Amino acid sequence: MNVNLLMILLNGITYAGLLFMVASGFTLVFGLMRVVNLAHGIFYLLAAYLGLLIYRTTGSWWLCLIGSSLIVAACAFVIHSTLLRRVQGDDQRETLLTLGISFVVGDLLLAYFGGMPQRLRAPEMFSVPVSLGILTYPGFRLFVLGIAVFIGVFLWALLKFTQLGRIIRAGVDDRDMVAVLGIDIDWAFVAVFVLAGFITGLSGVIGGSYLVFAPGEDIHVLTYSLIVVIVGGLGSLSGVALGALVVGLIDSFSKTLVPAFTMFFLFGTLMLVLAFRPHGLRGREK
Amino acid sequence: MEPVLEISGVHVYRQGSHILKGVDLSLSGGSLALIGRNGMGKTTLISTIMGLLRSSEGSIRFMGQELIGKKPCLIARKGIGLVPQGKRVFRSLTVDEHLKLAFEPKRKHQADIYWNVERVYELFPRLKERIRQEGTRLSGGEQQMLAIGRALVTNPSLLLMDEPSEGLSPIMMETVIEACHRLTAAGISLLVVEQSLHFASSVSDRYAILMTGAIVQQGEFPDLLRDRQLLSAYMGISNTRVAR
Ligand SMILES: Nc1ncnc2c1ncn2[C@@H]1O[C@H](COP(=O)(O)OP(=O)(O)O)[C@@H](O)[C@H]1O
Ligand SMILES: [Mg+2]
Repeated sequence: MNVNLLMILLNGITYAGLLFMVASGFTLVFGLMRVVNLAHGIFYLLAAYLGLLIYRTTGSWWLCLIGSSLIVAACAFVIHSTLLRRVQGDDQRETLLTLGISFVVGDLLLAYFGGMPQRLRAPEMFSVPVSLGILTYPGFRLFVLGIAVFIGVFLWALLKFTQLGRIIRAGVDDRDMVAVLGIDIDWAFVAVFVLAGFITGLSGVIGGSYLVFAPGEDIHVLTYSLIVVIVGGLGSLSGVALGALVVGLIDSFSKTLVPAFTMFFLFGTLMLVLAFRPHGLRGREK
Repeated sequence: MEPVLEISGVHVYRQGSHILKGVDLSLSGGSLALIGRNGMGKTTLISTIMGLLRSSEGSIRFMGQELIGKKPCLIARKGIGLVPQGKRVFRSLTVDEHLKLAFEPKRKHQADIYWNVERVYELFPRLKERIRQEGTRLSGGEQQMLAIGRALVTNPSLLLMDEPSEGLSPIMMETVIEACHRLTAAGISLLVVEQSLHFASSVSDRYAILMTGAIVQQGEFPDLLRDRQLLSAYMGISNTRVAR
């Protein structure tokens, strides 16, 4: 195979890894809990900027990764327990509320950090290119792919084998029936929201070291997450993986070969999928 | 003896319509059948006991403790289990996962038997054969067994059953009746909502009739089954249908 083509393919796959990370947090909240979290993108951007702050003071990328994710998870907890809880189950209010949060936080970030594009510096160990037979490939991107796979396996095992996983799956089907078993389902959903915040935080720092970020990037992240989740199928983890792969490959190929048509191909795919599989590639009918 | 469940003057509105208009009902151990035609408010009453619906007035006491205003999960933890109308098994969970989800080993129990997953499989061997199947892939009767098993592993001292015989084959109905007898023998109190007089009278000695949001008649089953006038007035049942 042509080395260039292989490169584009690999780029698509590693980008799919990043997309999977970003979208898995989104699907936990939107796909499973049906909370329309339009603040998802801003959680990502917040994590990236917090990473910048932590990097400036400590100089450690690993501290950025953990610190930002923990702070974003804490923000998710506060937002859920002070605001989202009050409008639970009301799609319209959830939408407006989370959109409002994302505007406010977005402007605060712009005011504090300015509008210049920024980038986090990944640790030295990742800047070494890795040799993969006929080509060498940036180590950091392979690391991203590895983390994405790890998160995927972790979430899969969590949902399949643990009590929290059973509570979430059952709660998505029938919330009241979980409650009458003596299970505090509200608490379980808070846990999921916080976990999603943490994963989004991880992806913000990792994404912010993979690509540049600037104010407005949150809309991008939100759009891509939506496309991935809708193409893959709401609430399905394997669907997110598949959706991320499809979007990642389309994005990589079209950006390299016909850059002007990237959005056209992305949304064209979305339309085709919805036309033939209205519930997404791996979605189930309600 | 202190009643297990004591409902007094309960009023419930649903979307503006007055559904329960002062329900008074008391259950002291054993099994009580709550009967009445469709749309009379039986499910509404069960949901209100469980905390899923809010009552605007009245009191519901379980072992002397007020339930009104408490969250469903706290009510369940006090020892009330629900077998809901329509079974409502989880479609994303297998049979085994249903029971694991509901089983809480630390919860204290008042009944004579401690229910864990194994005990439920002993009660319903059919479920054990379907252990890895998803809830909605089961037959109606198996789903009912699963709904009962799921409630049992929470170790309730009072079990609310909402139309357990709905959609069951005659054989399956006998299986569930038999299971109910074993539950009452094990010290669990039952409040059974039923449309089938056969099921209700097999499981309970006592009945209460709910009509347009209030209890209009209570008593013992043998008397009710003899009273054709009462049956046709409250149950809309003609003489021939009383015969099993
Ligand atoms: N979700 C609901 N919203 C508003 N009214 C309801 C709802 N469910 C049932 N009702 C009304 O409440 C009344 C009692 O219903 P229900 O308690 O289900 O009766 P039953 O269980 O005795 O058949 C009916 O008139 C029904 O139309
Ligand atoms: Mg009913």
